[in-house]
Amino acid sequence: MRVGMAVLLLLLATVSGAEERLQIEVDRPGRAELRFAVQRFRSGPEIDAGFRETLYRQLVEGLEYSGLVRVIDPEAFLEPTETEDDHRSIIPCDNWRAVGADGLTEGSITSRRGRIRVRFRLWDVPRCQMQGDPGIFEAPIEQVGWLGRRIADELLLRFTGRQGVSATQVAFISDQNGSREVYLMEADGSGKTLVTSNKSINLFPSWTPDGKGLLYTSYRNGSPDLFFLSRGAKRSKTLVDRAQPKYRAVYSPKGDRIALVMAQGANTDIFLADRKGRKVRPVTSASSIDVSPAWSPDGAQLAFVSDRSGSPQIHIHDLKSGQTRRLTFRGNYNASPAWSPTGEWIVFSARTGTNFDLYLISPETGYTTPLVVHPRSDEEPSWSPDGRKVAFVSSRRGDKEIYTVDLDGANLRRLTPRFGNCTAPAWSPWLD
Amino acid sequence: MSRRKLGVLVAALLLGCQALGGGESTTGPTEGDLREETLREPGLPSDRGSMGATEGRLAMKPIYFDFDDSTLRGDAKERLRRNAELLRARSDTRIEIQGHCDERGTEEYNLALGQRRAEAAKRYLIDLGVRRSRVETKTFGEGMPAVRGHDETAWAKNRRDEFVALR
Repeated sequence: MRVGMAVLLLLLATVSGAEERLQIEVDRPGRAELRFAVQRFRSGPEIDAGFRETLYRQLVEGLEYSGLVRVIDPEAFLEPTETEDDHRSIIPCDNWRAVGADGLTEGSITSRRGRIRVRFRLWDVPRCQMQGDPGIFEAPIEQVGWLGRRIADELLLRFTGRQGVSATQVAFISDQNGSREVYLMEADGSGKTLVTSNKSINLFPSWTPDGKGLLYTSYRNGSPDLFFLSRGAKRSKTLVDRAQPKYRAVYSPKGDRIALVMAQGANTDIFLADRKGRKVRPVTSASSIDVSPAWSPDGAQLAFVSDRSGSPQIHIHDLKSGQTRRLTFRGNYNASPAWSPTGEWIVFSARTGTNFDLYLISPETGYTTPLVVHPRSDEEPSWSPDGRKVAFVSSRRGDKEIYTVDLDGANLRRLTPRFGNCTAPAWSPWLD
Repeated sequence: MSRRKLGVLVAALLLGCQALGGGESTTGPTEGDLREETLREPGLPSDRGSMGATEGRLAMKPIYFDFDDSTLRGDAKERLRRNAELLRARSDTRIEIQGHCDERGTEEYNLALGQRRAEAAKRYLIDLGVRRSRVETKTFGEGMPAVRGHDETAWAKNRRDEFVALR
């Protein structure tokens, strides 16, 4: 399914004063603390019942995908299961409190010229007041499912202060076609589509910060090189005009620079380039293997893996001062750092015995806590844009498969069953 | 914020919306799919272990390494000396040394390690008198194991350099 090319219009119906907002502690979420009532949105005869049901179902799934919300069974409602009037200034809050609702969503659907338009409102039931202004989102009618998830993500923003991620995507590598190609899927694993078809080895997709393009590594011309593909383009472009083998490239959070990994002889180092892959200059120049650069959210630091101490360990390089410090000291193989969007954590894979587990480490204090521990390997973590989830590769069922998990280790989801060996998940930014 | 500033802000917001979507309910941005058309480039090889190189028959056997190590062991040096002799006998042949790793470790680190292993063998061949221009290197990391399997027997056979003739 095509995602991210829908127009989203959030119309401000009223310009209200300072909004009181219920803030929920979400950094390490507990289980489904919020209970939402979702009415089926009112619609006229021009709306196909199937579309309406898809919107409802995807909205519900989008809310529950967060791991923060449980949607109340409409059978329990004392009020109608369908919105009767979404222009009211007051709702019968007692009846919604009675079924245990913290939030109520109601709305209406209209369509015009192949586009579907949804007007929705969110009520804070305990306080009996509207949470934010009415929202109006629209998209091409065939993207109604995505629209449902996108509304769910918006409702999470209004209730928790951080937008949900059910309408985002994950880029990854799969060998299910015989060659290792780049694929995309929705954040819940649905809608897998092929991105590259060059019948060689493709590796390490990573997103532009605006979600409009992917960097990746490919052997399509013989040796590993960097490529860029933008939405709508038929061909990828090479990125850095140097003959040496290059293993990975990642855009800075602002999109103004690229950190890349390039070999020179036996030596592999991290380099910086401008947004177009020009003006390449070294960041590291040790005789060690230096790989896996990961930007801090403010773009001021790079976490990376180096074996300069004798074994692969995570280091942090400050781009302004040029200083490098070692972050991990426990164990003899720590790799794949990824900096959380909040800046609070770096998730990485650590070898214990012959297998990898995922850990969170504070880049400030070095405090370390396990995220995913399993007798089989868990590797290659990638953060969701809200910083509440991590996608990763696990071989717990034999083949390498991609999973997502919440920061408290709960809400584990298997995204790529029966899809060959899947690696290098790269969670997209928000896509609109 | 003054009323006037607010008005400007709202106007800018509406303009922004129109630039994006042409107004309240129209066409929308013309972003397309993230999908590349199928490539059928001539000469793009699909043979395992020979990508980018035209594989030729060459009686040069692989050399093997210890875990997370690119140091040439005694048995590897012995084999490299024999390989150097074979190269002296076929002065028209150029080779590609392909560095590989076992499946443990991260894929990106293993690309770098495979490169280091290939370069280690290249340096040794050059020390034995083989011309630098006759030897290319390439890493495949852990992506092309010689042997399937998830134990030390398999891993030991996968931590290797292979020698492929270029024509």
